[in-house]
Amino acid sequence: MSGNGRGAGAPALLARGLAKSYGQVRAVRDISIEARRGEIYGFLGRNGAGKTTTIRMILGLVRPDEGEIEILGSSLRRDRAGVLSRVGYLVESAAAYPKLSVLENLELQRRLTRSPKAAAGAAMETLGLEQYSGRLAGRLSLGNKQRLSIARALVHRPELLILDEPANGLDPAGIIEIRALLKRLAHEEGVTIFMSSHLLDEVEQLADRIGIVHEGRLVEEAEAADLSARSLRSVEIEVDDPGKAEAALREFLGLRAIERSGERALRVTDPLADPAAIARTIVGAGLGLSRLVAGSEDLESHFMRLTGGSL
Amino acid sequence: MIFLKAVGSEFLKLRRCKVTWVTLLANIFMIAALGGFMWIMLNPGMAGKLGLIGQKASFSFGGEGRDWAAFLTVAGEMSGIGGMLFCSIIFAYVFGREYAEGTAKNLLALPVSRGTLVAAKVLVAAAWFAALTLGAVAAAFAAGRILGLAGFSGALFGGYALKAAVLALMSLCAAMPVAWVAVATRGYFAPLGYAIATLMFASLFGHTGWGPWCPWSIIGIYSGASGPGTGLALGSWIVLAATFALGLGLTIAHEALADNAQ
Repeated sequence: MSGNGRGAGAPALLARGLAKSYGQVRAVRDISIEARRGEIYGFLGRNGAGKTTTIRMILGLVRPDEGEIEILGSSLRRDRAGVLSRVGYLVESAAAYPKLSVLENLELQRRLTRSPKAAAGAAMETLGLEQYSGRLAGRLSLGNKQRLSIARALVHRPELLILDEPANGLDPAGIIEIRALLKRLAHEEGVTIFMSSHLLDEVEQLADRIGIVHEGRLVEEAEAADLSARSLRSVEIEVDDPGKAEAALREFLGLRAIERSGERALRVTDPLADPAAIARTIVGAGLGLSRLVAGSEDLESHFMRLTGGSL
Repeated sequence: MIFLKAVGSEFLKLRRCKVTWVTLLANIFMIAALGGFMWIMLNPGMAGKLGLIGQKASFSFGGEGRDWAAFLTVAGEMSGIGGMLFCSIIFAYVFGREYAEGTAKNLLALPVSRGTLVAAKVLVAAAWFAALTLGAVAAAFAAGRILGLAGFSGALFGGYALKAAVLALMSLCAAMPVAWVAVATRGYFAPLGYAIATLMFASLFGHTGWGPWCPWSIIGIYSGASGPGTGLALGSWIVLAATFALGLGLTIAHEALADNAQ
């Protein structure tokens, strides 16, 4: 699934200043995304944050009010068919023609993407659907319907794969299988994967880069590795005199986010909070330190803090 | 060529669909019922014994003879009214199913122009409707033969078959906006409601001076269902062609320009 040379070097997906309103509702406001070739981009957001509208704009299903989309170096607006011939997709829920078999559903995709005859069978094999080849799509389990949708997205061996909630309906073994497949596609075959998911640990395990969307805006975009560095650190200490300890930390370390978390406990939440420096400062000020617990946010806590509430 | 692939795909989507068989059987049943009415009329006294069915048979063939000419005249009138309804059902199904089954988003993100996708669907709908028309013509021939009607001639039957083909083409034109209603409302129900409304319009305008200008009444006028046929003016043909062009244009424009937020 390597590139065919067109737009080589350009990002796999480049969206600039996307905006979309439905009447008075501003679904997406000034979203810009860059997914580099061969990476897995995790697109996170709460329900109604604007993820699916963004994905629909990227696939040309919804026309943006503002903004430009370039896929693999070509403008979606100027060359829709050419661009989409290099993109595989799964939008929201799995959908297939219920009266057609698994193979027939894939055959439809093969024909309309002008793929070789063996492509439908190959996609079926990749997703482990051979045993269901002749089964009607309407009689598949939810998990197998999802597999069929992912197989459909892969029939024409796309260079960019856009997946909206790919783990939906899959059992734990299926999730692990799909995770391995996506990693192999991205890291061995160079396919760029742009995926949205509500499963934060799924994104955390898969994504090379993560974008967090909230109320139609991209509130954070970072390498998955950098995200933990940017995440809030917290240090909880128990001291004999919390008042003096707080004053010492503010004066000597310049820490600002300090709060009382118990009768003799303080919680320091600050990206600059260094546990060793805190311990040295407390002891240096002649105070008794009986407990120190250092921690940092996981993606879930980070996400919740950025989007201001529960999932 | 991608258009042929799109047409092939649309035919594949009809595999195992009960609607195709239901429409074919219903169309044939319509002619078979007409044959039944003719059989009642061929057996004097039967109409009185059969109550309402007998009355309906008398009403259908009341002013006509009891031969091939009468049978094919009434069959032609039925093709006009029934054809438009069947054609509307076909358009509603072919276009509305993509939204009802949630596959529209997959279809519209394919690397194929929306115009090509719509044209392929129209062609498949036309082929389906042509098959129904052929079925009805064959059923009329079989019914007339079984009844042993007098007065058969190749020219007479050829004239009926030609009229059925022209009525099918007219129905296709008049029903084309159903496709637009299906994609604009994303399903089956509104287009079927629209189709029933057009039949009411056809009946309402068919007996007025506006009939030749109302696309749905034109079919009734040509078929003779709205009274003795007087032929159609050029303006009526233009109205039908314009209805088809408008329906097709609106459907393509909707698929190409409207947001698909299904």
